[in-house]
Amino acid sequence: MSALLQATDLRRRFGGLMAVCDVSIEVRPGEIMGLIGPNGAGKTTFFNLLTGMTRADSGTVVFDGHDVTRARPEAIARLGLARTFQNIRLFGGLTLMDNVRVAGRVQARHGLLSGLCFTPGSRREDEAVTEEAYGLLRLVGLEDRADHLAASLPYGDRRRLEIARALALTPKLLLLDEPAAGLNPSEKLGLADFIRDIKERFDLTVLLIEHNVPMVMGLCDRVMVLNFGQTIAVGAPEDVQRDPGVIEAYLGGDAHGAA
Amino acid sequence: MSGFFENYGFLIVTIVQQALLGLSIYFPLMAGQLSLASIGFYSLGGYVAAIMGTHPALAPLREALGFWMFPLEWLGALVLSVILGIAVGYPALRLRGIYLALATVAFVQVVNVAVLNMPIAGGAVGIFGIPQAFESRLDYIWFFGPLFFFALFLVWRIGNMGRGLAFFAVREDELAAGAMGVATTGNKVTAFVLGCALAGVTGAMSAPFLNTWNARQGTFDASVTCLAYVLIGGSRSIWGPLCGAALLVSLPELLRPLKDSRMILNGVVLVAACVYLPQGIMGGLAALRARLSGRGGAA
Ligand SMILES: Nc1ncnc2c1ncn2[C@@H]1O[C@H](COP(=O)(O)OP(=O)(O)O)[C@@H](O)[C@H]1O
Ligand SMILES: [Mg+2]
Repeated sequence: MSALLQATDLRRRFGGLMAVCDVSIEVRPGEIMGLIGPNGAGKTTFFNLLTGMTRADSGTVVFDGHDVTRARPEAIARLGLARTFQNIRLFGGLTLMDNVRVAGRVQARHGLLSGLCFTPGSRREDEAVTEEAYGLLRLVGLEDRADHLAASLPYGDRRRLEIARALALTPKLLLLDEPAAGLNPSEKLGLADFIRDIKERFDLTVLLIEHNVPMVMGLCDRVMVLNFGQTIAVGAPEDVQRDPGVIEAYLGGDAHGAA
Repeated sequence: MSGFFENYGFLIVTIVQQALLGLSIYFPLMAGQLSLASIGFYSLGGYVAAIMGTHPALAPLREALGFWMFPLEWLGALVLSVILGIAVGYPALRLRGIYLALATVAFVQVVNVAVLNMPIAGGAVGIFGIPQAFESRLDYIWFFGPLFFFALFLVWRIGNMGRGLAFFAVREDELAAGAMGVATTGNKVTAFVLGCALAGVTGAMSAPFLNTWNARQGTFDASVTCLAYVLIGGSRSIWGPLCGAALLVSLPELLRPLKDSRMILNGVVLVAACVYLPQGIMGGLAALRARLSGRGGAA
């Protein structure tokens, strides 16, 4: 089967620092792939390159048959590539409902003018988006706070809202940047089940960055390891775990989350 | 009652006129963009109306159209504002926060210098004897009033329809908005151009209202005053610009009996408003209401 996402030799330098150095990845439809590596390995930068938020110095990204190397973030998102952020970025001054509706509206065909003219089409579209958003809030268990401001949520709930918002884009590929960070152990367990559940339910492909090694091993079909901006291993979780280079990287580094 | 309108009618019309300028700043603020360009568009819109209303070459057109010349002037100002708004908006809105504000202040200065040097705009003296639409200045409420309610409708509707969420998303977090598929540049430019168009048409209505039009209409001071309407009235409520304009336009008049010390008191009121009502008057009222209803619920 051909890859859903194919990045080739992506490179990005920040001043003298080579944050991502000729990294390639192939994400196959329907899989859950893990991206691990010590802090500062370039994982988040790699996500930013894939989603158009950081320009690549060189390399190419092909998503679902489209070359998106130079595309704007919103164009990539509309093709069905959704993401969450390591340092959660919600629309704090908007309600939970509106956070989700923003993304749900993006595929809408009725624009400013038909909305201002109260056309029936735009009303129906708004209603459909609202209904879908409500369903997503229910899925993450936040429906009873639909009209609260996102900024009022506690940390764990923010992560869930951010995932609901990403799902509202009806993505084909979901990128999760450290979704378990800051969650307590029982929340972490729940998260792995939740990711598996939404993957089935929405027919998703998932690429996630995660430090929590047991979670990655249990959840992912394949794992790729970055260190100092370079790929040092890629393969099945148990093979990667035994890879001498990977053990070296984790024990030699700050041993963050090492198994 | 008639005495009241004779005394205060002009003031009321001026408040609505100034509130329109406040609203024109409110539009880009919906998408999180602080622009002070409104006064430049107001000035240009006024010149369009003043030139169309007085230029000898257009005399036959004015004769043929009669009162309908005024809507044609608004249309002229609208078209110019939209085109120029797009041309200015695309490059300027790459800047953020204070840099965008500075760039738009620079735009206002450029407009000012440009009109001062255009013979058709009458140089420093400007354009005099602009034909009046009504005999009484009070009747200009029939121009500004409907425009004000139309602008309020736009703001309200954008805030309540799904499509409007894109503006607020950009305001809250531009990067995340892009990641959620919101066309950030397009939305910023759209919000900006809506403000430009409103300011331009307001200018076109104001030229006959004020009878003369010159470069003093488009100064930096006026830009800051418009911004103050929004900040003091409240930047998160659609009634904020009206509240701010009402206070700032009427305060010097209401304090007139105090003679020279009135400007001091005027300043004190403004500083107090900034210090004690950081969310503006409407924000303060909302907080008060929340506190009162909270107390009512507890009792
Ligand atoms: N915008 C930026 N400007 C400069 N340096 C950056 C920027 N973004 C990331 N870096 C640097 O690139 C390296 C990789 O960062 P990051 O991708 O966040 O790592 P990870 O997500 O794997 O922890 C780090 O050394 C970081 O300091
Ligand atoms: Mg990171």
